[in-house]
Amino acid sequence: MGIQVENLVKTFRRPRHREGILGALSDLVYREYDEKKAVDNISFKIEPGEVVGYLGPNGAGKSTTIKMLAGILTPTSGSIRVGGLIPHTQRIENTKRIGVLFGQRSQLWWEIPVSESFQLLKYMYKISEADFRKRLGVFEELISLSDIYHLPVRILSLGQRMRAEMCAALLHQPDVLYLDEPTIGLDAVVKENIRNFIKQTNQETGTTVVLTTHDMPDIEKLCSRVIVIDRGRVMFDGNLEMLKHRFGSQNKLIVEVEDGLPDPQRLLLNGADEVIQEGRSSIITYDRNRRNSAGFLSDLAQLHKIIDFSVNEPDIEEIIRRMYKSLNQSDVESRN
Amino acid sequence: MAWHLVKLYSRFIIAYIKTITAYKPLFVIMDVVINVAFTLIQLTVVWLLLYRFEGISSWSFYEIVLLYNLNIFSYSLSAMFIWNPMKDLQMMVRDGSFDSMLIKPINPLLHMIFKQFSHGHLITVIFGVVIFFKCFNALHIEMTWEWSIWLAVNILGAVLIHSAIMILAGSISFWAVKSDSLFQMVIYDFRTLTNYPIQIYGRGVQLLLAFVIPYAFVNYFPARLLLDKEDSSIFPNLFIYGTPLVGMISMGLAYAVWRRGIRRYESSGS
Repeated sequence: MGIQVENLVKTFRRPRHREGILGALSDLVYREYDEKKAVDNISFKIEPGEVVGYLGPNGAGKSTTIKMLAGILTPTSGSIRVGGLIPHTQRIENTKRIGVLFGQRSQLWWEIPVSESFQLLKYMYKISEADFRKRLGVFEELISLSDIYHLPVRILSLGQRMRAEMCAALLHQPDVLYLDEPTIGLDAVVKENIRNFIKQTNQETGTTVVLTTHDMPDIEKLCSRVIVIDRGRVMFDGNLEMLKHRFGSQNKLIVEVEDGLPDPQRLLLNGADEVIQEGRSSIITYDRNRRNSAGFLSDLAQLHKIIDFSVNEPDIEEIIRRMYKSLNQSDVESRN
Repeated sequence: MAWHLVKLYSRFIIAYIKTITAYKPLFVIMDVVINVAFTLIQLTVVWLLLYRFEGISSWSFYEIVLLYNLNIFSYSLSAMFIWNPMKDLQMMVRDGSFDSMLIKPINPLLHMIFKQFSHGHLITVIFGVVIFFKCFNALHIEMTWEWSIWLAVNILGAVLIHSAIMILAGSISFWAVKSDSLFQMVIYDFRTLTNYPIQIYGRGVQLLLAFVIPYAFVNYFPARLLLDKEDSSIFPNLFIYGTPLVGMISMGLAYAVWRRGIRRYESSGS
């Protein structure tokens, strides 16, 4: 099931509070509002079966968009079609075909066992007994549920709970799955399990997946395409390789040598973009497409004894930060 | 559709029972005992108070008790379903957990009603039934078929009025972040006014109770219909048949406001 979003806008009105007692009194009589465009004219189209990473810094409008796609929020203007339906007006019809997981918020019933929550969902979504059994079988195979199935949700660890939440979101076999930070706060093993589960579900049932995350491996492992937004606008829409190639080519080499600090001038002459020296270590930033760490290291080794070194690839946050920088610059350039 | 909802609701009840038997049976038993005691004390106080006056204006003691009970009973029946949801709503709107009501394939209001169960109000409802029969007995009311249907229809209308007022008061949460004091002050305190026949009040209060917050249709007009009673309020006699209609209109209005509220819902978090 595909998703079409056209010129989507969501404006929040926040009452502005004036200072002091007089301010509070005048707020009672006449209230002023600040308008904030959380989503500012966004358009995109997602094909059935795609897995799309919806990225951006905190407050960029990611969750607001997902909540409009799910039918929780009513758009201020613009249109959304999810498999032909308008989510906020045909909400109940829409909910039958979507699965939603908000990492920070539970969809399960706190006091009762996971099994009882699933029973409630079974009745809610009118899932037949045969389908229900079949789904449980699939879940057991992919993510193993039996160890937590009869435990109440409130005693589960975060990792266990997220496994249960994932299954709850997929119990009715939705055509579209919205995941808002599905791996937040999880350890590496559980993260990997959740990613595999999402990937398998997408491959086997052709579920369309839209996910927000700050986790680079999530994106690399899952997303064939990323949409990056900032301040409510689409900044980038394309595949991951394009994004990395364009904005993520700057690596950092961190080196520590035995006898004091190497000469930064020499490193800059060798093609480093930036050299920062902190304590005993030097942080050398370079463009991966033009230079490599081996080059710097062999040059340094001629003059110093190298104690330790590491190479850091930019994480998604940094790629995005760099992207804004260059986008803002090109903004300025095109205006001139 | 209706059958599906019944099945779903019974599933919720099973989950509720499992919760209390598994984690806090003692707590619930204590709660029930306290509720029973509290209701008994409340009833005794009212009983003694009314007994001293031996009735008000042309209303006898048991007629006043019936009037009183029509209000309390229909309120408890309505509160059993609507009170907790509307009390929770304010918090759910503020912290954004109302989201989860909007992503399930059932009506959010029904979902809110299903996912809770108020044993406290159930106790008051049971007491209410007992008091009704005590009144019918003392007033020598002949419970014909026709009369019983009128009773049921009027109670239903009264439940709708109470529910509508609670839903309206609760829906304020969608517009104002803090709404509980308004909830309490403006709306619930008016309810106590109708524990007495409204003709004892001035014209302004009578108009308010009939047209603005229609509590007079909860017990005063139904009581006059059921007791076949002439009285001296400022309203035409036809009003005694008004409760079912007023109930449906209030509920329709409240539901429309509730739906507008959902459209305004802003969720929270980034």
